Amino acid sequence: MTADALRNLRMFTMTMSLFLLGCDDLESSPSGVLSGTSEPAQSDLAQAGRIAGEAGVNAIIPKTGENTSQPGNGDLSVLGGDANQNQQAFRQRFGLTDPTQDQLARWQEYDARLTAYSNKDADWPYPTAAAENWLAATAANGDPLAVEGTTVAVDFNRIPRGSLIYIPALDMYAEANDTGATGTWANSDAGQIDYNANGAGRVDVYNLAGDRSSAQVEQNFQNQVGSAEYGKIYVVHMGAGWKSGGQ
Amino acid sequence: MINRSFVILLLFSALLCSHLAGQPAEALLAARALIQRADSGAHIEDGGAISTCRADYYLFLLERKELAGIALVQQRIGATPEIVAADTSLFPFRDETESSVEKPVQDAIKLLLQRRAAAKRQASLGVSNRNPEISAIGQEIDCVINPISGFRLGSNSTHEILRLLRTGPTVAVDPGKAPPGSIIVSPTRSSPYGPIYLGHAGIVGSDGSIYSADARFGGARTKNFSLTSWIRTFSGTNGSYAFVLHAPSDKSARGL
Repeated sequence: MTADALRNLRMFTMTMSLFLLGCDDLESSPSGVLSGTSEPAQSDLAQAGRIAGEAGVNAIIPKTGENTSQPGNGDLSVLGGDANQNQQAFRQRFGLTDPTQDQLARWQEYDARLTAYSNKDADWPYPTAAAENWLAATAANGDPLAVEGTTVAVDFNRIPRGSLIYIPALDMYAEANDTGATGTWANSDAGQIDYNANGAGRVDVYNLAGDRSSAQVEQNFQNQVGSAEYGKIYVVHMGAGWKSGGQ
Repeated sequence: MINRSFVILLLFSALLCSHLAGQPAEALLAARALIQRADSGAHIEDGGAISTCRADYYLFLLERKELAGIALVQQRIGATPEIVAADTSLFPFRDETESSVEKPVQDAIKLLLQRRAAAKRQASLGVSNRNPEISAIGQEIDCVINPISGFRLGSNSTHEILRLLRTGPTVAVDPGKAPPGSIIVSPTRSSPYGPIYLGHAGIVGSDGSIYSADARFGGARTKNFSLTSWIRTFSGTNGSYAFVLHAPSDKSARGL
C-alpha cells in the first residue's frame, strides 16, 4: 500500500470518527421511538435516584379506586319530584351508565363536602355564573336556573365550570354548572379535608323544594347523605369538553 | 410597574395601528371554532385579541385534564384563520413563529397574558402576579432538578424543553425503560388547521409514576400518570422522549 493510500485511509477513518461523534445528539422517529440511546453512568443514575425521590416530595397524589365510597341507592327523589327522571334523561342523553370499578379507578377521586341548596333559599334566585348556561343545559322542569337531579354548584377554582362529576353517595352524575359562595366556603371550610390539596371543596347539590322549606330541604338532604356528607366525588371530566366528545 | 406597562401598551397601540379588541365578532367566532375543532376535548378560554395592519391575532387558553396550553390564531384579511403557534408556553417564541408573528405582537401577547394573570391572581388571593405563563411544567421540573443537578430548563414550552434536553448535559434513554429520575417530554404537535395535541413533560418518580405540573390542581406538581399510561397517551400523537441528567462531577470530568 502506498503512503498516499495510507494517508487517505487515515483521513477517512478520522472523518468517520468525527461523524460518529457528532451523532451523539440523538434523533428520533416521528413515532417517538428513539434511536442511538446510550447508557447513563453510575453517577448519573445516582443523581437520577435523588431526583426521583425529590419529585414525589410535596406532590399531590390523587386518590384512585381504593377506599371508594359506597354508591347510594340511586333514589334522588329527595332532590325534587323529577330528579330521578332528570337523572335518567341526563344519562341517556350523554351515554352515562353505572360506573364500573375500572372507570372509578380511572377517574380522579376527590374529598368533597356534600351540601344542598334549593329554590327556597333566602338568596334564590342568586345571579350565579350558571345563569347564562341554562338555556343550553339539561332543563327539563322549566326552571330557568337549575335542574334537580343533574345540577351541582362548586368552587370553580377547584372544579372547572361545566365539569362532569359522579357522586357515589347519591349514585348521581352531575354537571358542575353552578357556583356558590366559594369565598365563604373556602373560609369556613379551611383546614377541613375537602379543602386540602386533594379536596374539591363543597359540592352543593341543587334541590327543587316543592312544598318544603329551605331548612326542610337541607334536613332531608342530610338524612339522605348521612355520614357521607364529608365524602368523595369523582371528576369524570374536568371542564365542559365532555359534551363534545372529550370524555 | 403599572405605569411602565401602561406606557408600553400605549406604544404597542401606536405600533399595531389599532385596538386590542376591536375585531368583528364573526372573526372571533371563526377563530374559536377552529380551536374547538383542533382540540375538541379542551376547555377553551378567550385570551384576548390583537390587531395589526396585516392581520388579527386571537389568543386561546386550552385546558384538558392534566394539560394546559395556549394557541395563537392568525386571521389575515380575506383568508381563513390559521393556528400559527400552540404549545404549553409560547415563550420563547420559536423560529417559525417568529417569522410569522411580528415582535410587537409577541410583546402584546405577553402583556395580555400578564394582565390576565394579574387579574386572576388578584381576584382570588388579593396579591399581584404578572407571570404570563399558562402551564408550569418546566418550572415544576426545575424546582426538583435544579437544587440537585444545577441544571435548569427555564422554560415551560415542551418544544424548548426538548431542545434544551437534547443539547444539554443529558443522556437520552429509551422512554419505555426510563429509569427513575429521568425527565420525560412529549412536544406539542399542531398544524395550521388543527389538530392540536398538547404536549407534556415531567419526572419519573421512584415508584415509576410521572410527576408533573397538573392543570387540574392549578399547576401544582402531581402524580398523574404511570410511565406506561404516559407513553400510551403521548407516543402515538406527539412522540415521547426521555433523558437522564449527567451528574455534575461527571460533567466536570467531561470538561463541560
